[in-house]
Formats: sequence, structure tokens, C-alpha cells
Amino acid sequence: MVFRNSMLGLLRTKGKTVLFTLLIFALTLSLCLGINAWVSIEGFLENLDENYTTIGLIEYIGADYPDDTVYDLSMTDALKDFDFSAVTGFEGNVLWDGSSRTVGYIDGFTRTDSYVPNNGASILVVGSVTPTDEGYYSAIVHEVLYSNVARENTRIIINAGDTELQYGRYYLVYGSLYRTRSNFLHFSFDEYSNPIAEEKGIEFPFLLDITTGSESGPRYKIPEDCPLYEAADTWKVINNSVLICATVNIMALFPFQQQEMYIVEGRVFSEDEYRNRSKVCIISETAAKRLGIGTGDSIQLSAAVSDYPGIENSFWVEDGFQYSDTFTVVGITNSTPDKDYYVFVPKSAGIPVSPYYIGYTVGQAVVKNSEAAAFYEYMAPLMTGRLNLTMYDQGYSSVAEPFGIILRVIKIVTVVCGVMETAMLVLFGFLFVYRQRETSEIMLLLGSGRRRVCAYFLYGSGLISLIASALGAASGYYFHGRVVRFISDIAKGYTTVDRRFSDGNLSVVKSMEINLSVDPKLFIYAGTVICLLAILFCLIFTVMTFIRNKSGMRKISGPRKAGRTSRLSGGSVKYAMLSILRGGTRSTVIPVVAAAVVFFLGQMANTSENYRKQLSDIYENTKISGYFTDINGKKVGNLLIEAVNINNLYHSGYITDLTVSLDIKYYYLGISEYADGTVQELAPLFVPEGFAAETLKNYIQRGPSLVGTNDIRSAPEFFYAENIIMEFVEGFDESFLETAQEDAYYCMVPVSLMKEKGIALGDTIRIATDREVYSEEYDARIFYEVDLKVIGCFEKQGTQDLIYVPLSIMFPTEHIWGNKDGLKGPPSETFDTGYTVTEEQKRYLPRFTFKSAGFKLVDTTKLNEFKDYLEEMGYSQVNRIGKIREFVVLRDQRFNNIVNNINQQMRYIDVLYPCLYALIGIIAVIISYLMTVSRKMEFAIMRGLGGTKIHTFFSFFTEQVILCTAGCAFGLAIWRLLIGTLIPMHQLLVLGFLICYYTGSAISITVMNGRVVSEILSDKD
Amino acid sequence: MSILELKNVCYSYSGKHQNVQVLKNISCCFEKGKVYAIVGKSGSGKSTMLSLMAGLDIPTSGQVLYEGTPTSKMDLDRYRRECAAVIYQSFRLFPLLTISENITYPMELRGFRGEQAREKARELVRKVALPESVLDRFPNMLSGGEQQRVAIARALSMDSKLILADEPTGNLDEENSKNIIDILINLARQDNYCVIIVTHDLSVIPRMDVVFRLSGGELKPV
Repeated sequence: MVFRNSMLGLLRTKGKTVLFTLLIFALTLSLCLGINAWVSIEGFLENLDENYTTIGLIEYIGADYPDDTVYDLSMTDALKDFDFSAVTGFEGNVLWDGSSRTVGYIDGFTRTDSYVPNNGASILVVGSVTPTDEGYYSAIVHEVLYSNVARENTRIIINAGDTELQYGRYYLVYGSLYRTRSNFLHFSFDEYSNPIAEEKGIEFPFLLDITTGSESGPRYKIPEDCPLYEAADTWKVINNSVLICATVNIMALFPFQQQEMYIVEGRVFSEDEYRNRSKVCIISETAAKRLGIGTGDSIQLSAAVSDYPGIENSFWVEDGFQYSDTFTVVGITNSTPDKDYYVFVPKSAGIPVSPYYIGYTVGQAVVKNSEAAAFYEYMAPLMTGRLNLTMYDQGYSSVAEPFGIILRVIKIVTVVCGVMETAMLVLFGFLFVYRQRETSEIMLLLGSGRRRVCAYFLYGSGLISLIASALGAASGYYFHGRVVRFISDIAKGYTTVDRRFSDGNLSVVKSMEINLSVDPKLFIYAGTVICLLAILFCLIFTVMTFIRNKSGMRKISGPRKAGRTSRLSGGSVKYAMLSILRGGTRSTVIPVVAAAVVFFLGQMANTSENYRKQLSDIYENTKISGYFTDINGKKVGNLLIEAVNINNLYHSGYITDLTVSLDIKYYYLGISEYADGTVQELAPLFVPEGFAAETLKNYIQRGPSLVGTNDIRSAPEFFYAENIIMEFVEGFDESFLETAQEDAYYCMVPVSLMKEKGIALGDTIRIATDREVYSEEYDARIFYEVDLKVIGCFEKQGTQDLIYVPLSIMFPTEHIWGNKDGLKGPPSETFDTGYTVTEEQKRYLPRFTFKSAGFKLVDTTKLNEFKDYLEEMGYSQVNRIGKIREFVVLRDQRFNNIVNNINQQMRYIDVLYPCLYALIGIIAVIISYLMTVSRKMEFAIMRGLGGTKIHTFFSFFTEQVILCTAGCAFGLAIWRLLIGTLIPMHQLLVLGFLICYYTGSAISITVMNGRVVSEILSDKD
Repeated sequence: MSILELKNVCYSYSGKHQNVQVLKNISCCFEKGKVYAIVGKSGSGKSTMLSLMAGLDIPTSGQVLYEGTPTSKMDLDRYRRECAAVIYQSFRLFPLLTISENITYPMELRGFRGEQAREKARELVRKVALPESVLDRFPNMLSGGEQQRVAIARALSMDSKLILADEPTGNLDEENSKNIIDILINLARQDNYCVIIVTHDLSVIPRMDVVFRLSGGELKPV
């Protein structure tokens, strides 16, 4: 019977039943989808965190960067004062893996790569020596003590210099052997140098006459104690050495993290192997094939550590290896041209590490994926001089960030849904149960008992909540995949930062897809909780109906003291004013709420405005520079950048301060004129005949360069330098590089060259290039020569003696810069303002390529537009090849990090604030409505006494207008006093609030007015 | 001529599940100078009938005539402002207006303002045997009987000769009830008002000039 009556109650209040079923269903559905999205995205982000690794790679950008085999003294000096504890002290730092490298050797492993320390080193026995016309010697190799190039019975050409060789003699020679373009083997004497041996007082001859003179016996005999035997054995080891890289996390090493190297067989080291001094290693596929081994096999790995820097100085055969042990191969990596000789071992294996850095890697810090930007900002001040930090996050930030932002929004929305659901369930309990307390009273009076009363209410409300929550949960489960896919699609297209061409985006990008499947238990739990909550609230209200209201003193409502009868003349305004003045709390609530809203809106408007201003300031005050690089983003010089592309880029209108460099090799001839005017005759560099010409050209090619540039600070040698020590002749500074030279060519030379060649500032030097020209004066072909007046000098930061000259000497700058005065600044014309490429430029420009190029953006606000332009034109990004195989990097990482933070906040504001504004508007309407309906009785009295609808309307409306407006005005005045400004956005929002309040008030009064008076009089609250 | 006449007045309440006819073809006349009582059980439709007479609602069918003019053809606001004064069981005074302002309110609706109106209020307060000191008090400071007197004073301020009282003594004790009824009777007999009292209090019947009983939707004289 109780169940039947309960069901009848539901059926007879269809509207309410259906409404609450729908509301609970809708909120349950929203809540389930919200929770599901929350869980899915959080799970996805956790997955990302596990599968992505972010490293901060600290490198020293030395002169030979990115050569991974050199020793650079300036790197050691620079790192003497580096605070490594700052790196490990960063909270988000997971581990620090400092570079730990050693020269090693594997029995049986031979190298054929181009990174062999000295591939040309040769110790040969030569005979059948005959002089050539060019002043060299032709000889036959009789015995090879050591050489990667020569074989027995091959002919070589010996450049003996001043040394005389005789026919019929046999010589043991040490030197450098290389194959020329015309396939000759060219040999030059060289002095063997090994500081370990030299410390022992061992001297190495480069030429030994080992002829025995015997007719019947051996024609030559190498002395048994000849140190070149040891030199040969030493070279066998050095030139087949491996580079042992000890690590605490191999997957954090740059080549692995960037997926240049990966495991093709076996595995990486386990956690135990990292910890427990395990003798395990990982080698390359090439090494494995050459050694004929696979995973599980062992190698004999030795390490050579000396007191001297450099790979070549790490080992002397007499001293042998400092360490040797058997290692098991647990993993084999893919073959890479530059790392086939790398062997990876755990640091705990105990292999002694070279005290000197090999290569330019200082180390890598593995940081928490979400802390990349913070780590970069934290470390930036420490990256002084040529120290450089690059973050590689495998694309984590570009994948995780949008999801992170969306997750935050989803959390807010879900919590709001949860709160609303709870409020809805409370309201449900109130309306379904508490409002029927009369029913409860009657049932109790009739002796039904509390249990039956509870059952009556709980059957009905329980059924509604069960159906609604079950349907909501089921629908949520049905739609969850679509919703998560939709969110995923939004995230993919959603980015607050454009990372194209950015120096913060040099990493390869891994991709991951969000998991669409979800445990259905989530929905069952959510639905169950909601259903139980609904029943609980109904139960609470049921219990509340059992509590009888004790009738106490009748509450006195109204003023407590006698007043003074107003002298106002009457009408709706009088009633409104008296209501305001005598309303007590009621009259203060609205102004206080209005003032609070004004403050809240002000805070919101100002926050929004501040962020926009901050963003605008950042754009205005930040200058972004860019440069060209190689595919790995490491080199800034020795590139091939077409002048045609540079010209187009320059005239695109986006860039300014274009700097370029190009170089040619030079051969120093001497000082042609001293500063005091003394002239010196210098012979030209004649082009020899035959292979001698090739030899000479090869020699020039291996020599230093003449660099033409319009900015020495952007030249590759100084690209990463903080300071350049320069000195100039009076009246000159580095800007001479920008200007076109007409009467004389000026140059800057390194101080070391000046010391070596006795050059002084003001002298004019003569250099020859590798370009052949015909000289009428000498009636012969000579290498083209040019005189350069030395007007400046500098402390070099590279290994070679580069000479810097104005760009205009080597490139017709008018083809790019036109008739512009100086080569700095933006172009005088762009494609948009009528610039066109002339026919002459079309002929000339394709002939030139630049070795380096850099620029600045004219307008930072057009950064993204510029990136669009680069992409459209087909420029390549690091690790992402485009139509034009020229790689551009923009130094916008720090800028992007700052802008990203602000943009994120602004995104929240853009999404959240309109919702808040709408909510405030709704609240304004609701409050105004409640303020009206709570005074129904006054309405009724007024209308009952014959007050017209207009009179009644204005009696109440005027009051609401005055209260709300006064509150807003007060709030605005205080805001103005405290903050000082009233921004238009703030005023607009307050106006919106007022309009909402007035509208709500007007509507509710009008609705009240439209009712029949007797209905109002008989209405219950 | 009767001041108020009901001709075949019917009234029904329409709910979701049912239609209830409260008044069935009620016809009667009311004249000035008399006190009428309409009695009946709770729920018989007494207050409904009073609402129709007060212009607070309109009949489903039939007519309510005030001085011969159907109220359906009149501006009901004006009718309530100038013709029919109503006194309610729960007094229905503006809680935030002083007694003086409550009394002058209807006058202000009709355009009488200022000192003239306040003087009239003083006069009416005296008429209902209240001291002038109440004029600056608020309704919540008065007793039930005093509030009802104020309500009567307000009704008198309308200069209307028709006073409709809906259970005017419903919230009062015996003594106050007697006082209120005395005032209403005096208004009718001495000041020539037509006073119609809706009540379930049978003790007032002997003092009434005419008594109607409302039962089953029909009005019959007692």
C-alpha cells in the first residue's frame, strides 16, 4: 500500500517527476562524462610522463663544435667555475648524468669511419725512390708498419720538403698519407708526438735510412729498438679505439632520447645493472657484425686513461691499458655513421674516466617533463660564455600542454557539476519530501509509523534517482568515447605556443594517442553514488519532517523603533525611498552585493587587462633573432645557404639586421706594405704543374679561411661568444665590415697570426686564394692574390687563423642590400612595397651561397606570421625537412615560455570569465526576482488598495534601481580610490550587471503585477 | 438604490485535476446604512464572494454591480481605490510605513497629499478610538486590535461608502472583536456606510441587520 501510494504520488505530479528525472539524468551524465574525461586525460598525462623523457643538454659550443672527439682547453677552463650543484639542486631534476667518456679498445674491432683520430697516419718502409719534376719523390711502399691507406707495393708521392732522398735507398718514414682527387697517394713527413712517450724521453724520427746495402740478404732492416714500432702499435689502438660512454641512464643520453640511436637487439641496462657494478655493455650493429657477436656474448673491453688530454694522447703501447675486463653485450644499437664506435656501459661498472672532456657535452639533466621551461629559466643565468643549454622534451610539452589546460577546465567543470548535482539532490529532497511534510504529519497522525513514512518517501524519490542516475551513467558510458575523442581533437588543434622553428623545439617528436577505453566501473560507481546521495538527502529531509516545529514567540518583523512620518509628497518614489530607509538588512543586502560584484568584476577586468598589457609589453620589448643551422640544429657555420633565398627572406619585410658570412681559403704570402709605407716585393703563388697543383690546392683547402661578413659577432667563430677582444687602428671599429670598400681592402686578423708573421696594425698583407688566374705580368697562372690592410685585430676563439674582411669584398652586396647605406637595419623596400628581383640579380645571386646567416625580427608581434611565411616558403625546421633544405631556428624559447604562461592564464580568463559573467548575470536576475517575490504581500496590499500596475511597478522598481545603482556606484568609487583607474572593460561589465539586475527586477515585478490580486493574497510562500 | 448588487454570480476554481464551482448563481443587493453578515462553514466560498465584491477578482459568470454599473466595465484599480474599501483578517498593513502613512496611502493614490492628508489621518485615528501617538509608530508595534482599527481607518480614508470586511475579528480576542464590530456597526448606522462582514463567528449575527448564509455555493438569507 505504501509503495502504491508513493507511486501514485509520482504519477500525479508528472511535471515535477519528469523535471527532476531529467535534471538528475542531465547532471549525472555531465558528471560521468566529466569524471571520465578527467580520469582519461589524467591517465594519458601519466602515460606521457612515463613515455617521454625531457633532458636539458648542457654543451660547450667551442670552435670545433659539434665534433664529439676533440678536446677543447677553453671548455675545461670555462667549466672550472661551473656550479654543478646548481643543476642537481633544481627541484625538478630527476638525475644528472655528467659526461663520462674514456678512450677504449675492443680486441678485434676495426674502424673505417671518418672520425678515426688520424686516418692518414702512416709508418712505412719505402724504396725505389725517384725524384719527380715537381720536386717531390715517387716511391714504392715495401712494408707497412702502420697505415689505413697504403698497401705494400703501392706507389706514393713523397713531399720531402728540404730533405733529400736517394734512389736505391730504403727509408722508414713517418707521416701523413692521403689520397688526392686524381687518386695519387700523397705522403708528407710529420713528427710523431705522444706526450706519454715523450715524458719517457723517447724521440721519434720521421725519416730513417734503413738500407742494409746487402746484395743477397734483406735490403733493409728496421732497428729493433726503433720507437716507430711502438708508434705503429699505438696507432693501431688509437685509430681503432672505441669511445666508452659511461652513463646512469642510457635513454637520457641525447642520441637515444632523440631516437638517433635505438636498440635493435637485446635491451637497455636494467636498474640493477646501473646500481650493481655490472659488466655489461651496449655496442653498435656495425661493431657487433665486425666482431661476429650478438647479445649475450662477451667482449674484452679495455680503457686507456692518461694524464694528457685528447684521444691521441690517451694511450702509449708500452704502458698498455689502465683497465681491462670482460663485458657482456646486453644490447645492440642501430648503425649510425658517427657513433658506430661508441660503447655504452653503466657508470657503476667502474671503468676509469678520462679527466678531460672528450667532445663538447658537459652532461644532461633529466628533468620532470612538466618542469622543462622552469629548468631552462633556472639555468639560463648559469649559461655564461659558450655554455649552452638546450631542452629536448620529445615533443612532450606540445602534446601535454593542451591536455593539461583542458584538464584544468574539465576539473573545474566537473567540480561545478558535482556541486550542482549535490545542490540539485538537496533541492530534490526538499521539494519531494520536506514540502510534503503535511503528508508525513497525516501519516504519523493516522498511526503509520516512521518506518512507513520513510518508505513512502524513499520509494518515490528512490525510484526517480535510480532511473535518472542509471540512465545518466549508461548514457555517459555510451558517449564517453566520443567525448574523449572530441577532447583529443580539440587538444591537437589547440596550442598556446607556436613552436615552429623555435630553439625550444629542436627535439624529435614522439606521438601518443589517448586511450579511449575506460573501465565501466567508473560509471557504475558514479551512478551509484548519485543514487545513494539522493536517497540520503531524502532520508534526511524525511527525518526533518518528524521534528515538530515548536511554536515560539511570534517573530516581530519590521522596524524596532517608532519613526517619523515622512513629509514626502507621495507616489511610488516616496514608497521606494521609505522602503529603502526603513528596510534595515534588506536595504543593505543589495548595495553590499552590488559593491562586491563591482569589486569582483573589477578584479576580473583588471586581471584580464593586465595580462593583455603584459603581453603587449613583452611583444614590444622583446627582439627575436634567428639563424640558419644544420639538420641537427648544432652547426651555425659551414652551411650552404643560397643567396637567392637570403635575398627573398630579407625582402619579405619580416626581418632586419641580416648578417651573413662566406669564406674562401687563403694562403698567406707576406706583408706587401708596412704601416710606415715601406713596400715589400712579394712573389705570387704560382700554380704548379701536374699533381703538385692539386697538392698545393689541397694544402690551401686544409688551411685557414678569409671570411667575408657584415658582422663579426654573428660569424660562426664568435656566434656563441660573450665577448670579443678587439683592437683597431684609430678611426676604425667593427662597423667597417658593413661598408663597401672602394679604394682599399681592410681586414681584421687574429693576434696569433700577427705574432707569428710579425704583422702590425696598419700593415698591408698579401694573401692568395685557391682561385687560379692568368698573370700577364708573369705570363703564368698564379693563385689570385689580394692586398688587405690590417686595421683591426682580435683574440681568436677558434683553432684556425681566420681573417675577416667586409662582406662587400667577396659578395656584391648591392644585389641584396641595394643602394642602402650600411648593411644593418631593415630593407629599404620589401615585396609588399614594390620590391622585385631584377634580371641582374636573377643571374648573379644563384652563384653564391653563404656559410652562415642570421637576422632579427622587425616586429615581434608578427612572429607567428613569420613562421607561417617560413613554412609556406618551404624552409626546414631542425629534424623536420622542408622543401628548402636550409634549416632555420628562431631564438624564441624564453619568449615563448613567458608568453605561454600569460596566454594560458588568458585562455582560462577567456573561457572562465564569460561563464562567470553569465553566472553573475543570472545571479543578478535571481536576486532581483527573490527580492521581489519576497514582498508579495506588499504587492497585494498595494493592488488591493487600488494602486495601479504602473504605480505598483515603480514603487518596487525604483527601490531596486536605487539600491543596486547606489551599491555599484559606491563600489566603483572605492575601486577608483584604491586602484586609481576605471578601465572601460570594468565599466562595461558593471553596466551589464546593472542591466541584468534591472531586467530581472522589471520582469519579476511585471509578472507579479500580472497576477490576480486575490491569488497573490492567498498565495503561500 | 442598492450600492452593491450581485446578479447571478457564479465562480469556479479550475485546478489540474478538477473544476470546483464555489458560487452558484448568487443574486443579492446591499444598501447603505446597513450591516450585512455573510456566514458559512469554512470553504463555503465566503472570502471568494468578498473578493468578487471587492474587485479583487472577476466572476466566472454573472455581474457585480456597483451603483448600477457592472464592475466588469470599470477600471478595477479605480474601483478598489475609490469605491470598495476592504478590511482583511490579517490587517494587511504596510510593515515599513508608519500608521499615518498607512492611512494616507489610499489618499495619496487618489492625489490627496501633504498636510491635508495627514490631518485626515489624525481625524480617522481619533474616529477609531486610537490615540494620536500611534501615528508615528509602525504596525508591528501595535496590538492586533489596534492594527485592525488602523485598517478600518485606512478603509475610511478612501471616502467610499462600501466597506467589505473579511473575517475582521478572525485574529482578535473577544474584547477586541467586540470593539471592532462596534466600530463597523456604528459606521453603518451612524455614517450610512454599507458594511458587509464575512465571518464564521455566529456571535455577531444578532447584531447584524441582514445575515446571509452561504452553503453549497448558494446564498440564502437567514
